[in-house]
Amino acid sequence: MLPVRPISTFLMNMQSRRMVANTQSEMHRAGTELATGLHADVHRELGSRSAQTISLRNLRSQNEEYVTSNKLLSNRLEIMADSLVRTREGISDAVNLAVQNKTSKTPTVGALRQTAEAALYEVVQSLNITMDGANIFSGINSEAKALTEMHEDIGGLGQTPMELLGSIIGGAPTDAADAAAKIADIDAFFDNANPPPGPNFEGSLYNGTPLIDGAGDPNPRVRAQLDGNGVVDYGIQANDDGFRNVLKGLYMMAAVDVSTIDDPDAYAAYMDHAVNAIDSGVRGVQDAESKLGAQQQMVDRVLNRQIDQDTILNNRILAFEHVDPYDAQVRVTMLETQLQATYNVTARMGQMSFTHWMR
Amino acid sequence: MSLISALFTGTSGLRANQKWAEVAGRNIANANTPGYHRKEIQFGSHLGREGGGVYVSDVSRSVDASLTRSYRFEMAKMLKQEAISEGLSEYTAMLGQPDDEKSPASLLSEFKQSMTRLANNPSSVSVQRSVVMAADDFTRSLRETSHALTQAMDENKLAINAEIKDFNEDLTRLAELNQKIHQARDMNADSLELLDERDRIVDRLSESMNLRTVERNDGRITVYTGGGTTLLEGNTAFTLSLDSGSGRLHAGDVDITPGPQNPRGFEFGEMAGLLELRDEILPQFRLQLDEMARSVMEAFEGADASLAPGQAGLFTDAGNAFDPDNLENLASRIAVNDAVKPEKGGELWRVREGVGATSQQGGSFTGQIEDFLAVFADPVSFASGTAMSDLRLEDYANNMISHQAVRKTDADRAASGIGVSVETLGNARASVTGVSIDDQLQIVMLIEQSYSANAQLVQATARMLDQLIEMA
Repeated sequence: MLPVRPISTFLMNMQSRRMVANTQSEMHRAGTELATGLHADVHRELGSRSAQTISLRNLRSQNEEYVTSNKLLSNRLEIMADSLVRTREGISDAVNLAVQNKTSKTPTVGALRQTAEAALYEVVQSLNITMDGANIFSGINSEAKALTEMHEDIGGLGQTPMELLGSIIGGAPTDAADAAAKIADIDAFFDNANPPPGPNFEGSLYNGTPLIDGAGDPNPRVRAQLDGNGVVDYGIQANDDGFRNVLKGLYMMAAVDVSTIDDPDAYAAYMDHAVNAIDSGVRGVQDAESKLGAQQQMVDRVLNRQIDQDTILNNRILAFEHVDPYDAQVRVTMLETQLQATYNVTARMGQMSFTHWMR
Repeated sequence: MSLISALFTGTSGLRANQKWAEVAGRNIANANTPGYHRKEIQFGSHLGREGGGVYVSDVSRSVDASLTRSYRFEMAKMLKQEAISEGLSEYTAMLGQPDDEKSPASLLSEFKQSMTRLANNPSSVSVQRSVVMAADDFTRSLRETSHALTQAMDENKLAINAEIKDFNEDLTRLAELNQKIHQARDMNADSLELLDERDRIVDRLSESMNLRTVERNDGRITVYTGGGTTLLEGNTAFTLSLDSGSGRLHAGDVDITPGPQNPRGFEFGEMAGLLELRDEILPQFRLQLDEMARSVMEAFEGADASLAPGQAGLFTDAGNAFDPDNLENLASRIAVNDAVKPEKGGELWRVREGVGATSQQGGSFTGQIEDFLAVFADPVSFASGTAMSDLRLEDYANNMISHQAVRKTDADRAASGIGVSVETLGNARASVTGVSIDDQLQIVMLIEQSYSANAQLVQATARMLDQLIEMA
C-alpha cells in the first residue's frame, strides 16, 4: 500500500512566518538604500575592500583641507606680491631724485630728505602688512611687527629709528675720510656686524626672525604644505638683502640733510653709497618678486589639480558605496509585491482546512 | 460458539479504535508543539485463536535518524557563526559605516588634516586649538572603542557561563530521561513522549556543540562530543566546567576546548562560537587597538625634538610617557598631553613648537609640525598578531576598522549560507515527523466510522445472544 505523506501544519505555519520576516527585512534594507543612495551596510557589501572606501574618504577630506589651505596661501602670496610692488613704487620718486643728485647737488637736492622720508614711510607700511594677525614679512616670528616705524620708540633703546640712524651717522660728513668712516658705521649697522650689545639693524629697526641663529646657521623660513609631497618656502623677510639695502639708502638720505654736505668729495662718496644701496635693493626686491611669482604659479597649478582630484575621489567613493536609485526602487517594488502575495496566500491557506468541511 | 467470537471480535475492534482515537487526539493536540513527533498506530489480527479480532501491535514515532543527524550538524555550524556575529554586533555598530566618519580611523585622518592646517597657519590660535581638539577626539574615540571591546569581552564571558549552565542542566535532565526510558516496560504513547522530550533536549545540546549519539539496545543513548569525548553514558553525565586559571573547557576531567591541537573537543555550535570569540577574535581586536595606540604614541614621541629623555609626547599613557612594558589595554589609557591644554596649565603653541618646549621659536615656525606630519608618511611595524604588516598609520587604521567590521559580516554571510541547508533539512525533517491536522481529522472520521460499525456489531451480536437465551 502506498504510504500517505502529509505536510506538517506547524511546518507550513513556520515557513509562512519565516518568508514574511525575511521579505520585510529585505524591504527595510532596500528602503534605506533608496533613501540614502548608499549601501545600507558597506562592510557587508564590500567585505575587506571596505578599507579602500575608508581610505578614499580620508583622502578626500585631506584633499579638501589642502584646497582650503592652498586658497588661503594663494591669497597670502598675492598680498605679499602687492606689498613688493607697493615697495618699489613707493620709492620710485626718491630713487629718481637721488639719481639726479648722485654725483653733485642740483636745485632739487633740498627736496631729497623729505622725499626719502615719504619713501621710507611707504616701505615700512608695505612691509608691516599682516594677514590673520600674522606679520607676513617677520619670518617665523610672525607675532612681531616686521619694522619699527621711523618715529616710533625702539623698545629698550629710548630712541626712534630716525634718531638712532642720526646718532650712528653723526651729522653730515665733512670730508671724504669722514664720509668713509660714516659709511663703514652705517654698513656695520645694516649688516648686523656690531658686536653685542649693538646696535644692529636686527633688534632695532627690524623685529622679526634674524637671518642667522646663535650657531651661525640660517634660521628656518616660513613654509607651507602644498600637499602630502611638497612644501614651499615662501617666507620673504624684511631683513633680506634687498630690503635692507633699500632701507639703508633711504635712511642715509632721510637721517642726514645731504644738501648741507659742503665738501664735494664727501657728498659724492656719501650719495654714491646711498644710491648704490637703493639700486641694489631695488634689484633684490625685483628678484624676490620674480621668485614669488613663480611660487604663485606653482601653488595655482597644485590647487587646480587638487580641485580636479576632489571630483575624481568623490566618483571613486560613489563607485564603491553608491546604489543605483532605479535598482533600489525596482527592488522595493518587487519586494512589496512579493510581501503582498505572501500575505494573500497565507490568509487563503488559513481558510483551507478540513475543519471547515466536517459535519 | 461463533456468536461469542463475534462479540469478542467486536469488542476488540472497539478497544483498538479507542487506542487509535487516543493517538490521533495526541497528534492533533501537539500539532504545533515544537519537537513533537507524529505517532502512528499499527494493528494486527489475532491468529490461531478462535474469533480472531484486532489488536494494537505497535505505537511508533515518525523519525528519520539520518535526517536528524544532518540537521543537527548543520544547525551547529550555523549557530557557531551566529554566535560570533551576535557577539560582535554591538561593538561593530560602534565602528559605524565609512560615511559616518566616527571611527578611530576617520578621526586619526581628521587629526592629520588639522596638523596640515596648522602647518599653513602656525600662528593661528584657533587652528592650534583645533589640533588639540582633533587629537582629543581621536584619543577619546580609541578609548571608547576599547571600552566597547571590553564590554563585548565581559558579555562573552557571561554568555559562556550561561551556555555552560544551560548545557549542564539539559545534560542532567537527559540522564534522568535515559533512566526513565530504560525503566519503561513497553513503548506506549506515554513512553514515546519521553523519547520526544529526549530528542528535544539533544536538539538543544546540539545547538551548543556538535554531538554524536548512539542508541543502545536498552533504549538509552550515549552522547559524545564531535571529537569523541563522552558526555553522557547511561545515567552518568560528565558536565561541563571552566578551569578558573586557564579558562579551558572540560567535560568531567577531559579538556574539550575547541582548537586544532585538541581533536577530542568539538568544532561547531554556539559554544564553539563563543570560545572562538573569547580566545581568538576579541583578543586580536584588542591587540589591534593597542597597537594603534602604541604606534601613535611612539611615533609622536620620536618626532618631538623638544622632549627630554623619559618625557611624554603629544600622546600619553594616562599622562605618562610610553612604556613598552605596559602595552596591555593601552588603547583604553591613551590621552592628549596636558602640556598643550591651557585649561590644564599648558600652552596651545606647544602643538607647533613641541610638547617639551619651554619657549616659542616664532609664530610661524613649522619645523616641528613638519616632523609631526612626517610621522604619517613612514610605514610602521606592527605586532604579528594583528595580521597586518608594515603600514603607514592611516592605512593601518583603515585596515583595522575594515578587518573588524568585516569579521562580523563574514560570520553573517556564513550563517546565511549554512542557513539554507538548515532550512532545507529542517523542512525535510518536519515533513517526516510533523502532524498535518487535516490528515488527522480524516483519520478521526475513519475512527468514528469504524467505532460505530464495531459498536453496531456488538449490539447485534448481543441481541442475537438474547434471542438464543430466550429460546432456551
